[in-house]
Amino acid sequence: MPLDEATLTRLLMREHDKLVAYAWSLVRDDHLVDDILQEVALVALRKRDEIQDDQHFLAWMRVTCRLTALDMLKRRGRQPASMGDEVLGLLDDAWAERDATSLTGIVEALRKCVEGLTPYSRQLVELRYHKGWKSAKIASSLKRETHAIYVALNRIHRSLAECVQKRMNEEAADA
Amino acid sequence: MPDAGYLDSSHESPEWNRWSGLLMSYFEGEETAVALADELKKSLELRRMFVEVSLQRVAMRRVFGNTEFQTGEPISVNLPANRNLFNRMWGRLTAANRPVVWSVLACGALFAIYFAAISWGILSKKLDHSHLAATNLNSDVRSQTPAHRDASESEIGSVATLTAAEGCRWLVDGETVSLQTGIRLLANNPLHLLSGTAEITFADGAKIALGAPAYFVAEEPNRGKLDQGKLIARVPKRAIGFTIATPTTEIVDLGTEFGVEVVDGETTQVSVRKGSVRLEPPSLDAIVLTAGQSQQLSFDESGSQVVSKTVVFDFDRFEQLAVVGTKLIKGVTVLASSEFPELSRIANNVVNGSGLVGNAHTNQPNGTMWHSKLGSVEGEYLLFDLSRVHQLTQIQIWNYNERIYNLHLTRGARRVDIYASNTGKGSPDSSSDQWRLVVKDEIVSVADGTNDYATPHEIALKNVETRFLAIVFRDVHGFDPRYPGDPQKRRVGLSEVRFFGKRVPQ
Repeated sequence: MPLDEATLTRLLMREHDKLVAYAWSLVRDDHLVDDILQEVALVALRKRDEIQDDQHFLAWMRVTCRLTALDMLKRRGRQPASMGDEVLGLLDDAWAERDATSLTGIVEALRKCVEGLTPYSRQLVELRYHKGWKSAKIASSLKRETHAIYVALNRIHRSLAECVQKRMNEEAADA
Repeated sequence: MPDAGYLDSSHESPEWNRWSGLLMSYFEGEETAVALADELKKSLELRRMFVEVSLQRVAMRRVFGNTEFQTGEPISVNLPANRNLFNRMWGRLTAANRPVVWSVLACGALFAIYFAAISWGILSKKLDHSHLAATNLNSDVRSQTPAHRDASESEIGSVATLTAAEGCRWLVDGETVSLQTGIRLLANNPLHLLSGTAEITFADGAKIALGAPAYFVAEEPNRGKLDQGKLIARVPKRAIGFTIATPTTEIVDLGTEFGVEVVDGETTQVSVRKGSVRLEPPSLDAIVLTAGQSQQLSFDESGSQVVSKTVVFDFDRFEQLAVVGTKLIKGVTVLASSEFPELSRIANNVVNGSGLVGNAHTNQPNGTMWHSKLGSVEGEYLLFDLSRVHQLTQIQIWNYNERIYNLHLTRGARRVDIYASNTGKGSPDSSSDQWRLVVKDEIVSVADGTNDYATPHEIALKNVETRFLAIVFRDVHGFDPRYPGDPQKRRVGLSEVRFFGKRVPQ
């Protein structure tokens, strides 16, 4: 049974940040992501008959996001990131693994997990995600190699993922 | 959550190392998509990493949107502080005193040990003990600094005050400490800032914002010395003549705002944003720099002569320092191009804190939000008066948040332009002689419609010094769902706007 408008609006709001993450990973441009999501929301409202249920919603939105992103990039005369359909399809499977994960839950857990980082890791995270510095600038500021910052940031992401998973499991167990 | 590979911290192979480079650079917008795609095709673990980092990137934004994090424990890093000092000393030796370096080395291990001892802080403890001062030191620092013993002596000898600090860690007697704002600084007091940004106000009125890592000495009420690091100086008229000395020049203020950076203890770059300064390098004629100019001074090959060259104006490197000492601006008033008084959705609601509890805004609009008259979006504006000229660093916007009919999704401002003016006269959109565009095509994030909407859209500003500011609305996030596609039924609205910055001394 197709989604009604109220349910669709609720899903759009609930999954907005996850869709932002998906769209940004395709185009890496905040303004474009905004336009894509606006367009995709309108398409979803127009074609909600095609969306079978809640479970189908994110998969449908990802496909629509991807097509819209490619279309917008073309219209703006920009080359799409050269991932190719095969890789994007494989990535969609990895995204689907996370469909049941609540991004709000991640945010709440992450807030605590960031506090538990070492001072150095916290500074890297702050410079990268609060101040928006790229790794090369961070490296220059801290007198380190850019690649070392890449590795350190990825290590931090991994450590945060572990921490977030642990916290969310604990939350689920307490519930 | 992913269940294998990425979360296994023992698994950090050279391949993982390479993936980190590809992944992080891709997420920073670098052209690594092709190489990354090759690896993604082969590895499920990497695909999971890709998704995890994508999700965390968005989650980080939400985390850092929380002001608790920004004002919590100072973020510090264990920089190799004494190593920096060593590098600085060595840098100066190799460049400034290169001709004598070899003779120093030839004198053997004794000199080497002597310089190393200074460099690594062994002697510096004895030399520096008496410098940090004064009346407002916290107890930990006070116990380490003999200068506190005579507060009146400290006040008499003080030449400047630490007036703001953000995330600052200082190296004092070999210990990493925080210093409270309000501390008075004695003349010739060496300051080693490990991390963060500090504002120091000199007795004669000049203010500097100092960025870590830095070595700075407040020498006199109107003079300081920067051996390493960077600063912005803002000098009111009464403090004209304020001087910053660096290893390669003296910078004498002629009524201005300027930035100075000293790299490796020798190369100085000076950039002037307003007014002018006079550079007085040793053995060279004085150079006057005016607004929009940058000059670099370094030692020549022999290390004995200073050479000077004009470089491309670059003030961006100093922008991060402008944030220190900024505060929420209070007493802001506002006018709107139109409003909806029938239900008390008037302009004043966006500046009076109505509907806000802490950082969270209600979703009940009457008396707490503003929106325009029916059918009018494009060209509508809010005109703010900050009551005095401020240097602005950030605007926070809580978008329109009325939950019923999902109006937060449709009346919320989407694309806006922001204009600044020192007179506030005329229409922001059309009086180009009175108003200047400072932010174009900003996309304001949509409100969440909840009763505790606490994620305002934040706009960072630089080089914006103004008393009046206008937000001009270009479109909204959608059509009213009750009247799909009907532009005559649209309105644009906001819940709250806050400005952060610091007053510009006049």
